Amino acid sequence: MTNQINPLKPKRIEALTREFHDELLVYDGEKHKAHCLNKTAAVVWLECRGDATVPEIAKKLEGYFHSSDDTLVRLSVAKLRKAGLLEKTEAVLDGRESLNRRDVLKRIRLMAVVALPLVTTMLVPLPAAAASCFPLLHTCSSGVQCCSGRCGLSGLRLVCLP
Amino acid sequence: MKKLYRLVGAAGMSFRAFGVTVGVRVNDARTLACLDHSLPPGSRPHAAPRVNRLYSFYLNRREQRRGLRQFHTLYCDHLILHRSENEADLYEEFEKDVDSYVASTSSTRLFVHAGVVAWNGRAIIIPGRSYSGKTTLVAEFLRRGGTYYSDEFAVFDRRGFVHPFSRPLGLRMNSTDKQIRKPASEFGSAAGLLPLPVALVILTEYKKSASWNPQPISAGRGVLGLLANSLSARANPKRAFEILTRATEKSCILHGARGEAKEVVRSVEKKFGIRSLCYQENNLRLG
Repeated sequence: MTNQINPLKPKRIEALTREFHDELLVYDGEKHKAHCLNKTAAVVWLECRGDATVPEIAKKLEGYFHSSDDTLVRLSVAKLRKAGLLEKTEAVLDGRESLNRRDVLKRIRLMAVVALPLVTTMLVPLPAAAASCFPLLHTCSSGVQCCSGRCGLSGLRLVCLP
Repeated sequence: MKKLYRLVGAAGMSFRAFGVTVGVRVNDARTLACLDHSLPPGSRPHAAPRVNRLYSFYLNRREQRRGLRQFHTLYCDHLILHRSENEADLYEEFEKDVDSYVASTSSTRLFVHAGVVAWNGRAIIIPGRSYSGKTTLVAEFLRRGGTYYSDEFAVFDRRGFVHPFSRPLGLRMNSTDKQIRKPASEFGSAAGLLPLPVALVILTEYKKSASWNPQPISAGRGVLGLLANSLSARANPKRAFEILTRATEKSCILHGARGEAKEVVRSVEKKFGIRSLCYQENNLRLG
């Protein structure tokens, strides 16, 4: 269903970024997630300033994608939204929101030149979660220290439980 | 804290490791000599009026009385970290806790939970948490001629070079949780001394019956794999990004499940330089 009254104007979240080769690394300090955007996803994300609809963004990036078709931008926006890299909004993409890979491949004429957008996400752990964990029956003070994830009472001591 | 000081005021020392200052107090001066092997690799004595963390050992060496259990206690600042009837347990707990503390608070280095070996003058990094099989893989590289850097932490400096953190390897035997410590010399290897650039990052995990068929991935995704195992990335993500991008600038990143460690090492031996597998070299596109 087309939302013509409130069209989606995607806006990227505030985040730490670093360009690295052809990719863009993004760190979301609120959710403690790190993302790696390939060139296509990065180009679209950087254009998401909250002041342009998807077709308008596609128009701006016509030179990059060698096409005025907005399919790649839609797919990118869908992926960026799923990864939490765009600010939440009630506005939706129009009825073509549910894009699948086959639809995209049909539409894109110049696949040899432009890659599909790719967003990889990783949770950045707390220090205790990143370090070596304790084995069973080892003294602990919280579940994150235990390999089993469970820290509980055994007698009078807190130990890692199965 | 004053009450604790009365118990453990016999002797003390402080040291500095990777920019972190740690103090130790004991109720028996002989204990300090027992701690030498438990200090973080690269520690140096450092007289300091203030420390970042203070450990206190209260060793109950009074004459054993019938019917009474005799506990030794390790404090971390003012909290009890561990109590045990076995003195050696306290040294082990101290070692684990101080390593973890230094790794997560160092401002001069970025620690990533990983095994590290030197191979032809460059470093191979094997990130992973406990039970991922990284120590087994490190041991196999050592048997095949690698130089030992660590089976616990990859320690990166601002240039992205990796430094040694050489404690004896902690191998788990027969799928039990108990670790057995073995020095690198038992695998025919010496411990490395110099900081090295990174040649290869292997993102892998042991899976029974898996065969080694890694895929090269982009350096950006390799940085994510290292971030997922870093201890202080949340505290300073900007620094983590800077260091890890420098570290992986010219390295290859491989990703895939592995079976036996020998298969992995043979593959690296055969293709090292592994130019044909490098993502950057082949300009592979993902997506």
